[in-house]
This record gives sequence, structure tokens and C-alpha cells, in this order.
Amino acid sequence: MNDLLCLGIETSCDETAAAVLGRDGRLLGSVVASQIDLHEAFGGVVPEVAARRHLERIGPVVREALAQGGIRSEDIGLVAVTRGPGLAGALMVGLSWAKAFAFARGLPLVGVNHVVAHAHAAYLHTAPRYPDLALVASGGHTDLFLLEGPREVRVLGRSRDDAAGEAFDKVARSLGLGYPGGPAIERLAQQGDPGRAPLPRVGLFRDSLDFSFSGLKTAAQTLRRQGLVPQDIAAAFQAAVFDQLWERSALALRQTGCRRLIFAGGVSANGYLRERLGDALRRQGLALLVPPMGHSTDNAAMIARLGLTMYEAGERSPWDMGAEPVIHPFKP
Amino acid sequence: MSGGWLCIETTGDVLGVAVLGADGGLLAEIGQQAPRLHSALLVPAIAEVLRLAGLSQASLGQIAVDRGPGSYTGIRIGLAAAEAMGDALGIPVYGVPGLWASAASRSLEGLYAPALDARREDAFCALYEVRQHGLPLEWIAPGMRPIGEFLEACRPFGRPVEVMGDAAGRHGELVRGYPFVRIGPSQMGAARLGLFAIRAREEALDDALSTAALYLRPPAATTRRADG
Ligand SMILES: [Zn+2]
Repeated sequence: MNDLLCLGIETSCDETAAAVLGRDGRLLGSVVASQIDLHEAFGGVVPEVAARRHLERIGPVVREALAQGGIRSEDIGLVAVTRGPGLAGALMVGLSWAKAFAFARGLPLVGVNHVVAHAHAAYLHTAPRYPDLALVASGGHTDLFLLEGPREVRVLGRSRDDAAGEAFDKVARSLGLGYPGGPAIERLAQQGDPGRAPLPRVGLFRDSLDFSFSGLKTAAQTLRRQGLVPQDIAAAFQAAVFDQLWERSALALRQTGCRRLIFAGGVSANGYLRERLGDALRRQGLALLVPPMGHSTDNAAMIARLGLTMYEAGERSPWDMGAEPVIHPFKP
Repeated sequence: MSGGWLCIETTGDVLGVAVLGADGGLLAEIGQQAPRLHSALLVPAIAEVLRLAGLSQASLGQIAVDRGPGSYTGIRIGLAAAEAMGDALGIPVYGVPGLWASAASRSLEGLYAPALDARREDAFCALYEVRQHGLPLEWIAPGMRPIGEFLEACRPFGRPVEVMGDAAGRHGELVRGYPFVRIGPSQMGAARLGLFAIRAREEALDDALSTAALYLRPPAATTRRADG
């Protein structure tokens, strides 16, 4: 095999994932083992439960990813792994695995930022092109940033309270829906009328592109207690989330001069948000770039994608690289 | 069996790595006081111990790793690294029950109680009898319990008990209050893991050598927000 193959490993939250990506962009294997069933009863991720499951799954998941592409461990030329942000105990499982695997085979290692990697999921079906504006929204983060290069990231805005996906989960719970809340709210909202549930709009913070979802969440919960029907609340909540995401993104596009918006992270799997963002961008002659199907939520293909790009830019991580549960302001 | 043994110990404050020859002869060993730094320091320590032993990664034949009990994070760091190296090199990985291996590292016949500090009054502990032949016999199964309660359970044996591991130091006054207790070494070294694996395989006790983590406790259920 002449192509450089990168093994990507991701264990930052509640998905154990491994993937093999070629430098030429071919995705040879990709496996994501979800733990949603384990954490459902708690309405959130239990860190120690997650870390234990990662250790049980990491070996089989890596082996299956290699097997999908008919790849032997000696064919791998580079190892990329998530170093943060995420749950410390969970991150350490993937990091220990990745470092030991790379060391045993004498391979270069690249540690990557999980949030920046989410944005790079959009580069799984098109070559990276910098600068690019990225909006990453998930259960753990809502970040708007300018990718100036694989290792140069400028944060423009972030959530000041709940992450967007977290707000979806909490509103879903107050509407009696299951966890995770995103897909449940999207389905319910299709039968609702957003005009029948008045929700506050969160204006821009002065001199800032930051987000806030906590007030929106509380207002939605209050409407439920006042007896409004869940369908209308779900529709109104989703529309209000769109308004905020679009308002900030539109301003950032104007400020940076970028001609397209990368929308990634678990919340970008929401069809309603994708469609409305796409429409809004098209009306201004701009483009929406989203990850391929199934790569909005946590996966290892995005880790390999960013790892390869950073490697080509000269990045090499040391063997004593540690986990960085909180990277603030985040580094690539 | 051919090729060297790599032994990995990450369950306590001391990070231990050792390299043994195929026959179990000690080639190199490192013990490093490094609480909370095992994730960062493990691979550099492995690189160093291989250099001291004059071996390359490719000349390893098998890996022995402490699978618990001890620090939950530490257990996972060691097991994940050992499994990854096993996969990368195509060699077997043996997970070693840490308390049993500690007792097995003692040669004089008698009762031994490996006990690891588990915070507050608790210890991960067990009681074994070292005999002339074979691996130590288990009298009290590994578990997490208040150290005083455990020592009370050792009293009816009516014989001296050597308490090994860091729990004795942590609860010195309490432990020394038991007249039948003798304080043993607080650190046993990573080489004991490979030596235990060799003996367990000779005695066809391969079941003891799985790579399932030995936490001995269910996880505490406090949640954090999900990601996606
Ligand atoms: Zn994520």
C-alpha cells in the first residue's frame, strides 16, 4: 500500500470510535460504538460508566475498523487521537491506546482537538480549504470559529451557558421525550406551530458572537407548565435555536468575508436546522458545508481527517502528551 | 514461550515497568513515584526500560499488566496500553490480578494480606496463604472494605499476617494496633506481574489472566452532560 493510512481514535464522551483514512481521502474503515443505552436512564453521561465501557470496547472497535478495510496493523502509517476537550477518564483510554499502539510500531502520533475535528468532518468529502468559518454545535459545545489552517483556529463565539445540544436534551426531558433529545424534538416539531408558543429571542451580546441557550430552555419549560402543547413548544424552540445560530453565523460571515459555513457536531444532524441554514445562506449567495451522512455526531473519521492534515503541516505529538479535558481557549 | 516480557503497573501511585527475559530473568525495572501522571509517563517509561534492557519493541514476546484493583483510571491506562501494544505487535497480553500477584511475590510460607489504599477508611484487600508449592491460596477474596473490618476478619486465623501495600502506611496506627500484624513492603515492583503470569500459565490457571479490569466496585452514578 503506497498511501499513508491514518488510524483515528476517539473516546472523549460516550462513543468509542476508530477509523482508517487514507491520505488520498478514502475512508477504509469506520466504527462507532455508542453507549447511549448505558446512560439513557441517567439522562446524561456518567463519567465512570463511560470510561469503563470505553476500555471494554476500544480493542474490538479498532480491530473491526481495520478489518472493514482489510488492513493489518503494520499497514498503518500514522495515529491520530482526541486529546480534549472531553471527560478525563474517557479521554485517557483512547490516548493510552493510541500512544502505545504508535510507540509499539514506531509510528508518528498526532493529538487533536475534538471540536476542531468536528469541523473537519466536513472535509471528509472535499479537500480542506482554509480559511473557513465553522459552527460546531453538540451536547458539549457550541462554538463559532475561523479555521485559518489545521493548527490555527480563532474562536469568534461560544455558548455562555448551556450547549445547544444540551438545551435540546433538557427541553426534550421536560416534554416527556427520551434521551438524546435532538431527534425527538425534531420529530415532534413537525406537527407543531411555532407561532403558538411565544419564546424570547436572545439578542447579540455587545461586541461578541457568543450564544446563550439557557433562557430559551427555561422559557420552553415554563410554557409546558402553562399547558401549551408539546408539539408547538418543540417547533418554537427549534425555530428560536435556528434564529440564534443563523444571526451569529451571518454576522461572522460578514466580518470574516468567508463564502461558506461549515455546520458540524451532533446538532447539525437536525434536518430542520440544516435546511433552514442552507436556505438562508443560499439567499446570500453563500454555501453550507456539512459532514457526510452519519458523521455529524462523534466519530473517528473526523479525528483521522484532522490528524492527517496536521501531520502534513508538520505536527508531531510527544509520547508524554496528556489529556486536556478542558481546552480554553481551545488549541487545535 | 519466546521473546521478552514487558510488565506494566499503573494501579497505584508508583508507575512501574519491567522487562524480563523469556525465562523470567529480570533484565530491567523502573519504579517512579508519579501520582496522576501515569497517562503522560507510561510510554516514556516503557521506552526507557526497553533501552535499559537492550531490547526493541519487536523483540517482546508477551505483556503482563496489573488489571486491578487500584485506581480506576490507572487500571484503564495500563490495560489500554497493554492491549494496544499486544495488537500492534501481534503478541499475547496477560492481565494479572494485582493482589494475588503481590502475595505470590513472597517466598516465605505464611499468611499475607495485600492492602491498597482506597481513600478514607477503605482498602482494596485480600488474604492469601503462601505455600511451599503452587500459587498462594485465597482465604479472603479481594474486595473493598474498611481496613479495620478486614483485619478483624483476619484475627480468627490465629496466625501472623503480613500486611503489604500502601494501606499499611496510610493507616499505620490502626494497623500496628493488631498484635498479629507484621508490616511488609509497601511496593512490590512490576516484575512480579510477569513472574505471576509465568507461574499461572505453568499451573494452567489461564482464567486468572484475562484482560477484564478488576475494579471491585460499581461506578458511582453522577452524570455529566452528553456530547455528540
Ligand atoms: Zn463531539
